[in-house]
Parts: sequence; structure tokens; C-alpha cells
Amino acid sequence: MSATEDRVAQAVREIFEFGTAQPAQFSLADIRRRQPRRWTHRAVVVAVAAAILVVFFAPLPHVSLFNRLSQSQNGASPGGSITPTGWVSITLGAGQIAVPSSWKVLYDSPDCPIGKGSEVFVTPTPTACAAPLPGDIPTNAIELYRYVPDKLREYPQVVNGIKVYGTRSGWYDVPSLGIAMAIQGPLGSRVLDTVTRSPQGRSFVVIPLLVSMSEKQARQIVKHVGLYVANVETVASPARRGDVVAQSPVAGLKVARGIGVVLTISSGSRTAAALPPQLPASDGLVNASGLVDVSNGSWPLWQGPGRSPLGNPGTFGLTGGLGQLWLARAAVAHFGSANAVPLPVPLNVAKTISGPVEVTLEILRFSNAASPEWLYYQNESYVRLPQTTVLSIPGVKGGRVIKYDSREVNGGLTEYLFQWADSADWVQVSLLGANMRESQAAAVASDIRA
Amino acid sequence: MPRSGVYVSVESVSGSGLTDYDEFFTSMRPQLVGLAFALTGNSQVASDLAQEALLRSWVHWEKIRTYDDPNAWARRVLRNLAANHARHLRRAPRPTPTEDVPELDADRVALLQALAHLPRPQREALVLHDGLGLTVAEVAAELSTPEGTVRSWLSRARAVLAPVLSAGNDTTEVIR
Repeated sequence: MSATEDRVAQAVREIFEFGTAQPAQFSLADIRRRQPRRWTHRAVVVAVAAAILVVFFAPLPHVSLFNRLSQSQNGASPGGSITPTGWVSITLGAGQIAVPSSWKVLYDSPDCPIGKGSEVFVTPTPTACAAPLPGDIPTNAIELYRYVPDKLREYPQVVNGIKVYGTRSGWYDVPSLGIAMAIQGPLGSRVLDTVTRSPQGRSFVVIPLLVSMSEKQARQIVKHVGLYVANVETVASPARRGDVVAQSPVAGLKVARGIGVVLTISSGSRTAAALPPQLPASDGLVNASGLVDVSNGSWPLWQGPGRSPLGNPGTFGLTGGLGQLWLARAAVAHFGSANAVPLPVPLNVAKTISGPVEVTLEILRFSNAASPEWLYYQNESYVRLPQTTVLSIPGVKGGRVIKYDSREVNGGLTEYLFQWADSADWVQVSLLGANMRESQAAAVASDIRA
Repeated sequence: MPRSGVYVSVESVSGSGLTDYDEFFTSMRPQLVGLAFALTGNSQVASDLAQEALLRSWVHWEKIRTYDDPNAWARRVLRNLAANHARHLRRAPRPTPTEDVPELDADRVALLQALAHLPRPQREALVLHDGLGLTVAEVAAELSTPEGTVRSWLSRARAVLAPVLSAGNDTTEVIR
């Protein structure tokens, strides 16, 4: 370093020291007034960010669950819990999820390219989905999953879907983990959205379970699935004030996007009596002679008139809240024997058979006897839906008989619903078939009454 | 200093009775003020920048304290703050850099003004090396630059500043 450079260095040094010698204009206390960022702050930030992601991007668990339930027969099966025997819909709005090519696919079609509107169903791991649903619906309801033989089944609710089912025998509604239950388009495609659309382009959503949620939560979910809250009613209920105690339409129903939902909110009053939860006696479920009459009694799962399917070990499980299929004579006649009839009866076959093909019994027992009153069969909001027509046929125990226009969900089959409340039980018998007449429905109702 | 998991309270006290941040603050405050003064030429600004750098150090102390050289992190923050301040000055009316430092002699004031017009890397290298007394290797590490480059910057900066010391207050030629 030259003498000149040395002088510069010295001068810089002096300037630096001059600066350091300046009187302090701030103290340690000034600094410490600010709260340092600790891990708790970061945790809060992460939690808030996660909550935002969940609210705005991730699929709501309730919605996913009831997408699953919507796959149940007739698309109206509130209740149930996420169990190893359930399946969930991976709603894909949160991002692009590639369908792994390792998934087992048994049926596919080039006519339905995957894309916006596609849905993919896979089975969850048991441990990941063992959480029960809130409210009094799931824990007390009995779900009898349909036995599925080694045949392809068809869930008519997925009107625009290509159904892909595993062939492993012994499973009920659900194949093994990783088997695609329903998929549109070729494997490996990317799914961009979650909205299920009919072939005509109409958009459908599944009514989520809102009971036991707060009104705010319910409104968020209603909005999330593309519906709106048309009305809010308040009733005296032992439920917590502000919680939803009933809803219409009922959860699990597949409806056109954009319809209104009526919420019934608890006023917090304890004037209404709460009944202790009880499982219905198994015999009480199936002793209705009408049901026996429409089954042929030879189906191996059906143990004969007056005998409960609940007693058939290894076939059914108390897992949730759905019903049981019976075969109608017409279907048995078509296939030659009950053992040859796949369940559900494929649409292309069912359409060729005039008259009843399948009968489904659904029983839900609530802890609150008032709850069945709010199911859609008595709710004016529901019966005003364009798909439903309340018939003048005498019902069962004062209930209604509804003709359900199931073109969207059952491929054009006719469906009659017999619904009534029995104490805390909500009971529905649905009769499904092609070209059914009201007289046939009336005969079934008469059988049930008997 | 004991640590547990991912978080140790900043209030943990060393053997001297001071927290580790207290010690950091005590040692770094004059250094940062001096550094900021040399970089900005304004004692008020220098104080503000040093305070901001120390404040950020405090806010992030749980993380910074685990670094190999927390002092370098604070100096880096300060250099960035000084650069931001200089950018701000280019958009705003430029005050006289040394208007509040009458104690400096004319040569030093002229040098300070000339420093402010050096390219940022040269200015920072010169202040860190000649002012703070870091070695070339340390300056190179702090500026993430090869040592040869630092030497080059130092040489150029001194070459530019040398005439200022000789010419007293006349910095016209230097600033041009």
C-alpha cells in the first residue's frame, strides 16, 4: 500500500471511529420494546395460513364425506361415519392431482376425457378416516352395505362418469386402498376441477350434512358446495344455541347446483326432550311383510321371510346409515336366479325389465325423536323440488309416497319412495324399476302396511 | 448457552448476568453506527439505520443467534439498509451528507462526500476493510466475492479518494 493509499485508509478509519463515537440515540430498551418473533408467532402464522388454505382451497371434509354417501343407493342417505368401509371423494379443486397409473382400472371409456368436472374416488386408509361425523345422525344409524359380488356395479348417481370397480370379492361398497372407484378419462390425466356435470352439462352437488354445525359453519359449507341458504328457522331444541338441528334438503341428496337450503337452528331452549340413543332391534328392521314380499327369499344374503339380514355374519356391518337391497321378482326372473343378479342391477338391464327391480330399505335412528320430522319427506322445501311429486297413494304410518324423477341419478328408471317416521326412526323404502305404475307402488305400500 | 429443541428463550442469561442479545447489542451498536456513518455520511441516518439493524436482529434473534457469525448478519442488514437509503436519496432531494458533523475537519468531510459517490461495492469494501478493520478475506466472505476482486475494489476506491485528501474541500473532480 502506497503512502497515499495509507492516508486514505487512515482517513476512512477516522471517519468510522468518528461515527462510533457519536452519542447513542437509542438504547437497548428501545429495541426490546419490540416483541421478538418466537416459535409461537411462527406457529400462529402457519396456523392462520393453513386455515386460509383449508377454507379456500382444500375440499371440505363434510363435502367429501357426503360425496361418498351420494354414491349410496338413491343418493339420499344421511348419516354414516367414515370408516374403513367407506370411500371418499378426492375433490380436486385444491390443485391438480394426477391419477396414478398404478391404480387398478377395470373399465374405461374413451368417450369421457378427463378434465374439468372429473371426479376420482379411491378408498382411504382406515386410520386416516376413522373419525365419526358430528351430530346424532351417524352414531345411531345402522348402515347395511350392499354386498357386491365379483361383478362390475353401476352407481347411477355418477351420471357422467366411467365407473371403475375392483373385482376382489368380499368387499362391500369399497375396494382396496388405491383402487379407483370411479374415474372419468384415461389414467394419468390431470383433474382440474371437482364439479360433477351431467351429460347435458347441468351441474350437480351433493347436499352436505349440516346438522350439529354452527350456523356460520353451515353457511360456509352451503356456499362452498354451490348452494345458498334460502331460509333459517329457529326451533326449541336441546342442542346448543345456534347449532343446526335440521336441514332441508336432507344430506346426501344430489341436487342441481344453486338451489336453496333451509336451515333449522336451535334456540338453545331445553324444552324438547332428548331421547337416549339406541340402536333399533334387528328384527324390527326387517319384519315388514311388504319387504319380504318383494324379495324372493332365495337370495343368499336374504335369510328368508322375517329373518334379519343383520344376523348374516360376514355380509353386513353396522357401519353407518344406509339400507339394504332386495331383489324384485322381475330381476330374478330376468337373470334366472337370485344368485345371478348383480347388485345394483345394471341400468342397461333394469331398463329392459318393466316393473320393480330393486327395493331398498333405509333406517336411521336419531337420538332426538324430533329429527326424523325434519327429513325431507315432511319438509315442504324438499317436496317442492322439481324432481319430486307427492302422490295421493296412502302411505305408511302417516308418511308420504313420493315419486322421484330419477332421470339424473338412475338413468331414467322410475323410483317411488315410501317414507315415514316411527318414533326416533326415519324409514324409507325405495322402489326402483322401469315403467312402474302407481298401482304397483300402491301395492307395495299396502304390503308394507300389512 | 443451553438450547432445547427449536426454541430457547431470549431471556436466558449468561454468566455475566446479561442475555446474549444484550452482549450482542453492546458490542455491535457502535460498530454498526460507525459503519452506517461511513456509508451514509449522516450521523442521524446512521443512528436510525443501526437501530433498525439491531431491531431486526432482536426480532429474529432466535434464529440469528444460531449463526456462525451473527455480527456479519447484522452488518449485512445494515449495508442493505444503507443501500436502500441511498436509493431513496436518489429519488428525493439530496441533503448535504455532512451537514450535521461539524466536528470533522474539511479533509474528512470531503472524503465522506467522495465516499458517498463511490460504487456501492467499493464503498462497502473500503469501509469494512479500512474502517472496521476486517481482513481482505473477511471482507470477501462478507461480500460473497473473491479476495482478488476485493483487493481490486479497494485499490480503485483508494485511487479515487486519494486526490480528495490532497485537494481539501474541492471534490468537484472526484464527484464528476
